[in-house]
Amino acid sequence: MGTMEMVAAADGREQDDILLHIENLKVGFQTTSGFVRAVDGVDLKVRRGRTLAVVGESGCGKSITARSVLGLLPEQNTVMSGSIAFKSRTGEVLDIASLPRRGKRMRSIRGAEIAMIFQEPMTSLTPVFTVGDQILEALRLHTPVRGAQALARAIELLEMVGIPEPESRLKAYPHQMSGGMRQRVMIAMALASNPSLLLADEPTTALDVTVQAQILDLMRGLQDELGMSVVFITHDLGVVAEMAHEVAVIYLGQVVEYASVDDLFERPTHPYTRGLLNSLPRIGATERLVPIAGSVPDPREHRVGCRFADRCASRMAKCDTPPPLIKLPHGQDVRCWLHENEGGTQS
Amino acid sequence: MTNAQPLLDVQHLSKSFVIGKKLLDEGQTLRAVDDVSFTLERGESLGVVGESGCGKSTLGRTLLRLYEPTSGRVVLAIDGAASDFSTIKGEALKQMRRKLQMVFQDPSASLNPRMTIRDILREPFAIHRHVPAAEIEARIRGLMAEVGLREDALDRFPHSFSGGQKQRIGIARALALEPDLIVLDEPVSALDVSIRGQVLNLLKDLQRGRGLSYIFISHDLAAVQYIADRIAVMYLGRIVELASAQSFYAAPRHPYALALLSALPVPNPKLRRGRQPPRGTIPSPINPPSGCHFHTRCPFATAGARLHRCSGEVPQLREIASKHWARCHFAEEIQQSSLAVR
Repeated sequence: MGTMEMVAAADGREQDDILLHIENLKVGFQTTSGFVRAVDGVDLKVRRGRTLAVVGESGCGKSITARSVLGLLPEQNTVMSGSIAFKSRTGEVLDIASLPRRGKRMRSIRGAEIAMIFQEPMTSLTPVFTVGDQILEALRLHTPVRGAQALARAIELLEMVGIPEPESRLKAYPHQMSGGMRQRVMIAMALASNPSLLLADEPTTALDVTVQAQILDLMRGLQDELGMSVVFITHDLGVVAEMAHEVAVIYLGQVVEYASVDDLFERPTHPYTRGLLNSLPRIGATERLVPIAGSVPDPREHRVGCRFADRCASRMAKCDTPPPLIKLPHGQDVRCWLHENEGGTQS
Repeated sequence: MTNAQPLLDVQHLSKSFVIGKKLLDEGQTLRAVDDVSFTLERGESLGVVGESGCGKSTLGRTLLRLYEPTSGRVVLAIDGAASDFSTIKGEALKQMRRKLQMVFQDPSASLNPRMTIRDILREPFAIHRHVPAAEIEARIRGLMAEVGLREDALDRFPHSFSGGQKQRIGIARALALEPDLIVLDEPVSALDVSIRGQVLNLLKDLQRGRGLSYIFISHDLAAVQYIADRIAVMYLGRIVELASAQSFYAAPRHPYALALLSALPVPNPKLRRGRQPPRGTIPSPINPPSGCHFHTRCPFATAGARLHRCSGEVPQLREIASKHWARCHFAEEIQQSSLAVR
């Protein structure tokens, strides 16, 4: 069944609420040293006005997933399949994955209805233009406002992201601003067209902890104010706990656990999720850490069965067969045979 | 231990850099480390925390004389004799350097990509010649086992290892000379979560097993707590708080330390707080604010007589509670009971 039918046939209200539905997304890269399966059957749902955190270690495919939503992956040597259903402003449901990436429709979505912010604002902002020029460009590309109105809107956007003296800062170049201020400018640019979905790829990882706290507070405030959905990609479980409504834990290109943020931290279920949480030093805790053994394997290796098996303390014979994502009765999904018999439906 | 000399006694250590000096332009002075004093006992670990630009890495490098100090003394008590490490030269310096090692943040940048692991680990032995040649191979194998790497890795090059494995190699290299003190500069910041835990455990075990002293430099207050016995918080070149880890985490006394702790995201959604990160960003260390460097962002120095004092008078590092020092005029008034619940 295709995405369109899925969305159409799905029952009632919960589905109405879904802004983005990624299904069975697979992304692979042909490299000189072999085929890399970066994303291997990822399913994600993003609901309106909510934040989905996508958490995982380096190389798990979390950034590739986000980039594929915007058609930002390199065209050469990339193999992509699956569907990315996005409910557009016009009310129609589009499969982004099948849209021509340079086509008009995709361009009307990219940066306009779906915006993205990145880890290092310095590399995403142009050093040779002022901040004002760059925000005005975003407005010109994605909105009908022009001239004095556009200028007023640019000032308003800078105000919204908490940049003091916005009028004079419009004339500043990125290098004249601190990392936190640059990230605020990035957010202002992303918000220029009032997107319904914001993809945030490790937006605070390069920032100092006090500045990170400011940016996280800002993002939360903006979400409340504007009602946009956010996909927050991070490796930091502390940030997940602060920002997310729902969480997808990814390991080697697959979602291994999917839960509400409260469930995830209260009842971490997949051995990988539990391992991540046990790897974290915490203030106030003195017990010895119990980190996951080994390290993330080379994604070029061909694997059968559970991706996590060779690092898993609970490995059993059955793990040679790939586990499905099992829906647990209390609404958590987990890709692990340990929970086979607790499961309701399998997907 | 009370009568014995501390391993390290740092007295009024400062390191300044001159920026933008030209023919007729004297340039500007950046005081990266500004009058820092502390002691470190044998087997003890001091966590140095702060945000970028606070001077924590410069402190680590100045202690080891990777940078020459501008002023101050670093008295080291090694083999029963104390000497001022900041001034010795030649052979004495080389001998002393054996006892002080460093592990860097980015293990890829600190391992020579054209040397095998065996060669990398052989180098300290070749330079210091403290071990008979016939024993070196056995020592190298021993080091590999100690940091949890297999011997068959010895003939491979750094690029074929993961970040965590490279950091283990960096640690093995630091251990090769049997140091008394290791300065660890953000040793786990570049590593993935699961690997970070492994390396932290390794560092802890090595410290216990070998009786090492650590200076653990990090911006991560949770990782620091796991390793450190005592904590020094730095802000714009100065130590603003110095205390035992227990006392520090139970009751931090400097507003900046409070801000750092409350800004830290906690992996528990039930503890999402309505917190107040400090205003603004870290000022430029070239021209830091007058008086208390933190007064421009401090929630306690907002107006009136208080602001006047904080902006006009440099606070001293004062002992607020037993062995708990803070550089704040109003440290006695600062409490944050809410932090204790975490």
